Amino acid sequence: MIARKNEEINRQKLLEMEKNQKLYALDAMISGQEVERKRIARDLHDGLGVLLVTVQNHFNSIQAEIEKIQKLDVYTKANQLLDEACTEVRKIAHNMMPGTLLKLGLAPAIKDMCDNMGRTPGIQVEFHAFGMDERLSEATEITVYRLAQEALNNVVKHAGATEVIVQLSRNNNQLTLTVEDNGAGFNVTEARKKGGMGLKNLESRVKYLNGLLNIASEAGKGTAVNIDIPVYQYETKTV
Amino acid sequence: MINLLIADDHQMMIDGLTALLKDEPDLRVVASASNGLDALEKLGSHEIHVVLLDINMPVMDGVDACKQIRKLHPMVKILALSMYDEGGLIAGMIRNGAQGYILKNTGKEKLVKAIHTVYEGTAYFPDIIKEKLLDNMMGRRKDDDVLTLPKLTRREKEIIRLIVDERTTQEIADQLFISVKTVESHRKNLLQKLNVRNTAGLVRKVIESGLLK
Repeated sequence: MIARKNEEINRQKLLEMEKNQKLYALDAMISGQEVERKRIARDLHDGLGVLLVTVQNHFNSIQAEIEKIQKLDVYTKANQLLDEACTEVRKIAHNMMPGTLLKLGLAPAIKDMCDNMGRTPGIQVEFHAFGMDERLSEATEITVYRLAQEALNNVVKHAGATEVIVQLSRNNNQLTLTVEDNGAGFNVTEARKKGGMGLKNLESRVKYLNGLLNIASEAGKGTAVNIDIPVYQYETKTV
Repeated sequence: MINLLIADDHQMMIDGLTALLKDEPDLRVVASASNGLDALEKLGSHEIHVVLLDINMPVMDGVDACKQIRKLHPMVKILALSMYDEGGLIAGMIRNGAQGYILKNTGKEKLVKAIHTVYEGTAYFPDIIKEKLLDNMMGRRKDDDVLTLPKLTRREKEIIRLIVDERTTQEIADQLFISVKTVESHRKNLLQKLNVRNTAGLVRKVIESGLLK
């Protein structure tokens, strides 16, 4: 009898440990991923980017020496290609880790994201931020940024919306991210059961931050994604 | 003669720029710095007119350096020279006191023009930067524009409807299954969002504008 009880307790303990292990692995995966992204972004900017710019500068200074070279098609073409390469490096680095996020924080970075999305014809994106004057820890900022990115990706991919509201507000120890659209909407319970990548990514990241994910959607009326995340006083640093 | 300071953490970039500018008759690179703090020190010991300031640097980055230079050396002009073309960063640098912002792969001609322009006290932003800046400002303008009111989230609409129904904060919280604190923070955000001073103003604006529809 006692032996069986002990066995049961041990089994429970093992389950608990397994769960913790999983959470730990998730934590490691997410933070590892972000560190790697940051490194690649820095390498692109500082390594490849600087190299390209320098090549271009050298290339340009030739023009002063030999005026005739300018008249050759190959010169114009090569210069144009270098410009394109710089733009491409910038784009990749930005997607890996936006400079605005690291230098200025969450609200300006998400605002950039909304501004960029709003440039697509046929879709209006409004952004509002409240109580976001203080910076949060880098890990929180990056994860919340990815959450907003994921939510907006879902809107673009599935909703076919014309209007989107993104709102970020902080009240003491709670950070709330709201992303609402007026698009097609979907069946939330079914989608969660099916476990599409978009939703799964949201769920695991919210879990990583001990947050609460709430999705309300109605066919034809749109979707509201609400995410509450606890933030702690000690992790804020003033800018 | 315009005296220049180049602040960039890559010597290759400094060398490249110096080489590029060496034949310009009225430009002279008098010092270089490898980060923001270093730049501030150099500004103290050299007579500099224009700083070519990189953003991504160790120790003190360009954003902070910009603010400090503006404060400690208000006569010195700052031309941001960066790989980043993000609206937020561009706006941030301008807010911190940069007179110009150009991308690192800008050609010699434009670079020289940018230096002369900021030296003379005029802002310099190439079209591609202007566009990003405009996008950034357009988004913000919506907040206080009387004609285009900000859109409310579903939750905010629910809360306003209940306020209009004369419910107390506690009743609103109970009905929506949220805490009193959360209702309060929604109310506070709404005042700011709609640019009104109190709940009476909030109700008036919402009814007048038909925002609840």
